[in-house]
Amino acid sequence: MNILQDSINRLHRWFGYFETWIIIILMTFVIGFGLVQIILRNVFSTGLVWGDMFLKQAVLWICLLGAARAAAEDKHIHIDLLPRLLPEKLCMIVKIITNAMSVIVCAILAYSSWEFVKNDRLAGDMAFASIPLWWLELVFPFCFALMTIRFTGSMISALTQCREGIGK
Amino acid sequence: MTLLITICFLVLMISGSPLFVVISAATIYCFYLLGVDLSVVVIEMYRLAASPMLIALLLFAFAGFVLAESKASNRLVRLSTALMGWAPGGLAIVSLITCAFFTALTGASGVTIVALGGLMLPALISDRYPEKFSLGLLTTCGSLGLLFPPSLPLIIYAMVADINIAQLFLAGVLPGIIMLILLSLYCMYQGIRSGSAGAHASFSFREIMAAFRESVWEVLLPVVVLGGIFSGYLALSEAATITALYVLLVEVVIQREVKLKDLPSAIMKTVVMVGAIVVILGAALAFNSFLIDQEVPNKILDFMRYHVESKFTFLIILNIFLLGVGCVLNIFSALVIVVPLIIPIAKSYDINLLHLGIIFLTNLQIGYSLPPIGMDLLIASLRFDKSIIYLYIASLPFIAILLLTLVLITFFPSLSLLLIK
Repeated sequence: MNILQDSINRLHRWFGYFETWIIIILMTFVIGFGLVQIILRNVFSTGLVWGDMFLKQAVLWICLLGAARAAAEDKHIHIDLLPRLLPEKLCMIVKIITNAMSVIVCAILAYSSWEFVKNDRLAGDMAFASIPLWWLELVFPFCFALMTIRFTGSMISALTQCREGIGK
Repeated sequence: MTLLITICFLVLMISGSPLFVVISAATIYCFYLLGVDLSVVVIEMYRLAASPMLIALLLFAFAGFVLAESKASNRLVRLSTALMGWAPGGLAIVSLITCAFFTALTGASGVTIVALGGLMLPALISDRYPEKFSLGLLTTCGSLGLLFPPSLPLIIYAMVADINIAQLFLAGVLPGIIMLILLSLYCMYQGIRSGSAGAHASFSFREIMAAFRESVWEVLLPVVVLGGIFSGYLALSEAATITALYVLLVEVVIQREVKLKDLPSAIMKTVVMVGAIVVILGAALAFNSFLIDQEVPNKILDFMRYHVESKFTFLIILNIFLLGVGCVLNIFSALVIVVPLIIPIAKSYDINLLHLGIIFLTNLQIGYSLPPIGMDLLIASLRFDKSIIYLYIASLPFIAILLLTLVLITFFPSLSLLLIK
C-alpha cells in the first residue's frame, strides 16, 4: 500500500513539473511569436499565413491545460453557499457527491471529445505544414481525462477523510 | 419531472460543484434528451479559441498578475497622495483612484483588496478616518474600475455579445468617471466631518515630480494599451501582447521588483484563472445554443412584451434582476450565462448593446459588495479579519452612491454613448 502511495505521489510530482514547464513554454511562445507577428505586419507589411492558426492553437492548449490544473488546485469557479450553512459532517458528504458529479461529467466530456477528434481525423484536415489538425485537438480528451482523474483523487481523499471522521 | 431536475441542478450549483461541471451536466442532459451529439460542448470551446479575444484575455490577465507581484501599488499610492493628499478627504480619494486604476489593469479578481487594502487601511485610520468608513471604502473599492479599459469583464462582455471591444472600452469611460466623482464627493464630506481634511500631506510640487518620476512607467501603461488600440496600429490581441511585454519590461528589467524566478508562478496563476473561465464560457455557450434551439429567449421575450410595455419599466426590472444575479454569481459566469439571454430582449426594447454592457457591468460591480456571496465582502473579510455582516453595514453608504450612479447610467444612455460618436 505504502509503495503504491509513494509511486503515485512521485508520479504526481513529476507530472506537475512537466505540466508547469509545458505551460510556461507555450506562454513564452505566445508572447514572443505575437511580437514577431506584430513586427512583420507593421514594419514589413507581411505575416506568416499559418501564424494566426498557430497562436490560436497554442492559446487553446494553454487554456485547457490551465483548466486541468485548476482541477488539481481546487481553483475552479464555484459557489459554496450550501457548505457554509451545513455542519461539518454533512459537508464532507456534499463534497463527495459534488466530486462524484465532476468525475462523471468530465468523463463524458473526455469521451465525447475523443469522438470529436476521431471524426476530425477522418476529415483529414491539416493544421499547418504537415501536422494534421486532429493531433492538436487531442488536447481536449487529454485535459478532460486529466480532470476526471483529478476529481477522482479529490473524491477519494474526501471519502478517506469522511471515514476517518466517523472512525473517531 | 423537469422541475425536479432543475432543482437538482440548482442545489448542485450552490453546493460547491465547479460551475462548469453543473452547466455542462445540464447541457449534456438536455442534448441527450434531444438526441444531439454531445461533442457540442467541445465544439463551442473550439469556437471560443478561434476568437482573437481569448488571446487578449489571457495576456491582459497575465500583465495584471505581474503588476500585482510588483510594488506598483505602492508607487501609485505615493503619486496619488502627492496629487490629492492635501485636499479634504484627500487620502480617501487617493484610495478610490488607485483602486480604480489597479482594478482596471488587474481585473476584479480580489487582487485590489489584497494589494491595496492592507496598504491603505492603516494610512486612512492614522489620518483620523473612522474605521467603519475606511473598511466600507476599501471593500467597495475592490471592484471599482471595472468600467475602465482593459478590464477583463469588459472583454468578456464584448466576446459574448459579439460587439466592438474598442467602442465598449470608450463607452465605459464616462460612467466610470462619474462614479469616481460621486464617491469622491462623499469622501470629501466625510474627510471634513472627521477632521482629517488634508492632514496627510501638504501640496508639494517637488514631491509630485519625485512620485511621478518613480511611477512614470505604470502611468504610461494606459497610454500604451489605449494608444495601440485606438490609433488603429494594433488589433486587440496585439495590444494585449504589447501590454504583457511592456509590463514585463518595466517590472522585471527596469524596476527589477519581479524576479525571473517569480514569473512561473505568475504564469501559472494566470493560466489557472483563464482556464477556469474558458471552460465555463464553453459550457455556457453550449447551454445557450440549447436554449436558443428551444426558443427560450423568444418565450421570455413574448412574456416580457405582454407584461412590460415601456422601455423604462423594462430597464428597472433588468436592474433589479441583475443586482440579484450579481450577488449570487461570480462576474464571469454571470456574464456568460445571462448576457446571451438578455440581448435579444434588450434589442427588442431598442436598447443599445454598448449601453446594455455598461448597465450590466455596473450592476455586477455593485453585486460584488452585496451579501450573501459578494466576492469583495469575502475577500475583505479574510484580509481585514472582520465579519462579513460588519463589512456589509460599513459598505452601505458606498453601495447607496453606486446605486445612484447606476440609475444615472441606466436612464441617461448618452453617458455611455457620448464618446462613441
